[in-house]
Amino acid sequence: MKGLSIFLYEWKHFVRSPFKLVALLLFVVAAGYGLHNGASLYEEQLAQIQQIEQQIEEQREEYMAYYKEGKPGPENAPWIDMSTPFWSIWFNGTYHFKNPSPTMVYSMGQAEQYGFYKRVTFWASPYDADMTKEIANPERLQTGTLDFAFALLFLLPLLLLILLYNLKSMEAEQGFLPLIEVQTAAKYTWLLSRVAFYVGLVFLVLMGLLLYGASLTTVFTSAAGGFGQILLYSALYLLFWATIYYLLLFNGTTVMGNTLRMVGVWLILAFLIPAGVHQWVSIEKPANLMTDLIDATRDERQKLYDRPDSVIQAQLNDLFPEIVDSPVARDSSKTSFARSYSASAYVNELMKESIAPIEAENQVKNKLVRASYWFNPLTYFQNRINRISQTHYDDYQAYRDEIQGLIDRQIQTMVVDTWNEVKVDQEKFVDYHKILNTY
Amino acid sequence: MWQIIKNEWVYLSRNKTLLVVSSGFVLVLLVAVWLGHRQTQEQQQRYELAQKELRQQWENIDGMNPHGAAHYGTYVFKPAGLLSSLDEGVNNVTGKVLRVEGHVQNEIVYSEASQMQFVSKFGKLKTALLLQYILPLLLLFLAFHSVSSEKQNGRLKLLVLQGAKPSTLVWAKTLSVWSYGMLLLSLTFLVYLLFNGASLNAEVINRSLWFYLSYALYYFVISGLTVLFSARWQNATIALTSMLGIWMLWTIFLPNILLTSVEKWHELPSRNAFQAAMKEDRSKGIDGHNPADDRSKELEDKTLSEYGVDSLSQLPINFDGLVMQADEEYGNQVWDKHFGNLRKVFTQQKQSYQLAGILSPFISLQNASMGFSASDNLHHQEFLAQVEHYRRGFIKTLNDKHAYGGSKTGDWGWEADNDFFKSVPDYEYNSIALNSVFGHYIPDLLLLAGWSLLISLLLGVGTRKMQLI
Amino acid sequence: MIQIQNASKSFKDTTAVKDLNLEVGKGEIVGLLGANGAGKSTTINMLLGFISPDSGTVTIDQLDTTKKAAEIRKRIGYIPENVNLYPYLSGLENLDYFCRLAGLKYKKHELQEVLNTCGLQPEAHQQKVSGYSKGMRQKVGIAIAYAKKAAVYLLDEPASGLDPLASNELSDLLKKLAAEGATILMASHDIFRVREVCHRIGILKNGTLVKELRSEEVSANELESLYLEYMKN
Repeated sequence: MKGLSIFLYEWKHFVRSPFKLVALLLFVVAAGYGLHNGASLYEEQLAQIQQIEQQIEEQREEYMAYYKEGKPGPENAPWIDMSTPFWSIWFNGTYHFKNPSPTMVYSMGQAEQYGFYKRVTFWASPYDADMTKEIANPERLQTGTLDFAFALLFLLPLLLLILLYNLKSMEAEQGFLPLIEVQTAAKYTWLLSRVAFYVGLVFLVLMGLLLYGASLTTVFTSAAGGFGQILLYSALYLLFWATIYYLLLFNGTTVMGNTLRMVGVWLILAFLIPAGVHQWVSIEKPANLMTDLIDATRDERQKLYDRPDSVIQAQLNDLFPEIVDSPVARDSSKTSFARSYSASAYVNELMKESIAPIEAENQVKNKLVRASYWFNPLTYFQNRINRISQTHYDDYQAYRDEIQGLIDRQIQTMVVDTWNEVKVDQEKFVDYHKILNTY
Repeated sequence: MWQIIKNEWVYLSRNKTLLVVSSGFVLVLLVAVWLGHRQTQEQQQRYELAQKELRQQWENIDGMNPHGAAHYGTYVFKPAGLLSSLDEGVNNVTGKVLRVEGHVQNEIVYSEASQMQFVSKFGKLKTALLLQYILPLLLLFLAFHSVSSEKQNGRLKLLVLQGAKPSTLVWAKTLSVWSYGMLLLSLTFLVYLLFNGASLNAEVINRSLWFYLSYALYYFVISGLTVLFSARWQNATIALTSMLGIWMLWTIFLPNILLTSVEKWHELPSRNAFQAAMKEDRSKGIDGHNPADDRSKELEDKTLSEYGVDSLSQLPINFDGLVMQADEEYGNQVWDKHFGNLRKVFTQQKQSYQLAGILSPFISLQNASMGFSASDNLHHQEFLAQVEHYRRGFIKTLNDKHAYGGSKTGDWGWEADNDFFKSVPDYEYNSIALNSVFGHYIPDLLLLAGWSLLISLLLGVGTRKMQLI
Repeated sequence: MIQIQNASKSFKDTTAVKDLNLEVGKGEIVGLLGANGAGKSTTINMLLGFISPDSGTVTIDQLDTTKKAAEIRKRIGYIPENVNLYPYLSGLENLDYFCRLAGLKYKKHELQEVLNTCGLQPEAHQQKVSGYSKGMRQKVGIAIAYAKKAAVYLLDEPASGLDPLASNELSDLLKKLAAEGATILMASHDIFRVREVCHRIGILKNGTLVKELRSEEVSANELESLYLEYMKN
């Protein structure tokens, strides 16, 4: 009861401190601005995806017209024959998108470091140059956009610092802490109640901000679970800092001493440890210059082409047992042509083999980062939030895996149908679209 | 004044807490310089190894059609600048690998940031991180009670009665705090020079000096403003909390908010729209791989009349090489136009952001630090332009060989020999001379100087009515 | 009732209190006189339960101040030398807050009554404490103890820095409290005020109670001579 009374009275202390009020207001403005930035990126990505989908649809209509008009393809490109599976699939315009999650409003994470749309062809790879990020100012990318996660992870500890820095130490400095001790008989319950008030206040502010963020996108209708998770992690993060600050206040006796210690802890946790870990990982596993992938796309690929036909055929047969007894396989006059159309299949295998070590190396780096979580809480929380907002490395890895899956399916369909001499008409063209565009 | 500064230094040197904090900071600073140096070395080795490997592959081409070689292409890797061990700037988020080939200007890809999950919002533990974020805080902690403590214990009255002017006192306090910052900054440079002694040259020294000057000005602003607050406010706690508020505003809030805002004020196109526009413009030129293209026909007629022959087969040269080069040159114009527009937007963004230095000297410092370390976007764009310049020469050499190397039109099976490929020059990175880009950083330096001047004025004016008790 | 029996307390090499024996009964005001470092504040702090004696016993109402600190603090009113309250709250709000800390909830008019009883002018009740004089703050300090219905009042240099009028008002208030049955122990440098307010006086020197006497036994001048004599020796 007494604790509750202290808790409620803290409101008076709070509203009489302009410095604290301004700090809270600034935090709300910054976090609100961050939410709008997140929502804006979400909207931009959605709009971009819609625009590309529309472009693809228009192009598909154009190509569909060849079937309707009974033409093999564009007049100025006589080598194109839309009745073959190869060209029909090529012009089917398969794109794969990483649709942004509505929870992106809370964290942009690594969304700006990767592409989110990709044309899938037989020759594509998840590491193609068109998988690169959107055009953006690198200085802004380096500084980072102010999103809600930034406000939560970096500004919230500062806000809490400002709200708590003079609790107990002010009374101690002014000499009336003994009076409080005499009155309350439980100094630490008194301090705890006061800290709890600010934790409650900040939690309510966070809740309000999260609800506001949810109203900017479609969090409640399509990612309600994400809202719950972000609320949970926000609360845990708030408690984490409140506990640290409580312990510092518990032991501190002067306002200055407390402020310096609190700022010190913030600097260590927010700056020095993550930066140190980043530097360490960078030295342990420096940036990959992708020379193996380059070799695969040039010399290794050439070596594949230069193999004898029998070796190539054997590999194709291994990859696609369906073609072994296909009509083309039985007609030696057609095999050479079909084999050349199937080249992307074995190149794709080569690319997959070259990509595997790159991704394994990236995972080693991620493992190193994860190993630091026990002393590097900020990085932990940021990555958790990135996961919730689906803007984490792993989300983009999953996206790359999906692209690879679609490439595999496209090649499989093209090769098997080519060797089975499937004639593509309008209906089949539409079928291809259905099969190759759904993941 | 000198006596007061000397006295301050005696106090600082006898303050155990300060000695412990300073020792810790110096230790972290030394570790950062060393790690930065190690990383740069490691990166440079990888860069050289990769570049060597690629060159070897190129030089091992026994025989290849020159246009085939243009498609085979080569790769350029972004090198780590020597000063990037001090301030990494944008290097973490920009790509590292750029494919150089015919027909197309590729984007630089595979940034370090994309190769792993999130680690740190403020980058790696580089010297700049400590010099920009931590050292100013140390100065702030040192200065916030420098005058107010004199006031609180009544010593200020005594000092003034002894003949010390309040302004002299405040200046002396400012200079002593500032000199502490300068000591740590100089120490950092000394260690940096020791690590990099072998690779120092006039350019690096020139850049380092400007880098040093920018930090010196910023530290003066921080020291002066904090001492001023300490003199104006009755209470040291108010001085500390106000200065911490300003530090947060300058360092955390404003750079983030303003940089995000300038990108909205001067909008960049989406990659899709940019590429579509490039494609659209490019389609208006020659299609090197389509003989039926109208513009190819025009060039054909022109070439035939130039050589006074009736058909391509009669030409003493390979017409395909000419078409390819014409295609390239048109593509280059398209690139110049579109990338020129992009660079224009980047420049507008940068200029607006530089103006934000009026609100926060930290922004000017950050710009100057990255700029003088050759790791900002401007240097990145210069690097891309350098590679594009190389690409044009590279492809032209191949197209010329295709056209005039002895083959005939349509002879796609013709191959240039190994000597030719060996003779094609490799890409060589020319570090960007500071003199050529210095003008871009004048606003940052002026703003830092302006802030210093303002603080000096405030130290003079603001202490005239300073309360002694 | 305050009882200190053979209490000693040392800090490192310094003996703050040595074999102290002191009793203060109900309705009694006892003053402790002594120079700086004589052990007055240590004695008060032992009674408050902030520090425990190295030896001997310190009790209030037969409860050990160290072991039963929480229980005892409910019965104590403490007025430090400087009653520094929350400057941004009014006198009334400060009183309300401190009462709530003690688990007491009063209506506004009851709080105003307490402040009036303790001599704070009604027009000052709603003013922020930042504008209060030291005497006004002391009155709020006493009001805090009074509102708590403290049985024991511990005052550490309460009149230090007060003007004669405020000091006089404080004396009257203490006498009134004693008359209502409060036990009051007051540490002070002010010989004349102690002589005027207290029933009994103790002189502390180097942590030892060197003299104990009733105030009616001596005049103010005699007390001063006696005090100076003890200090010189």
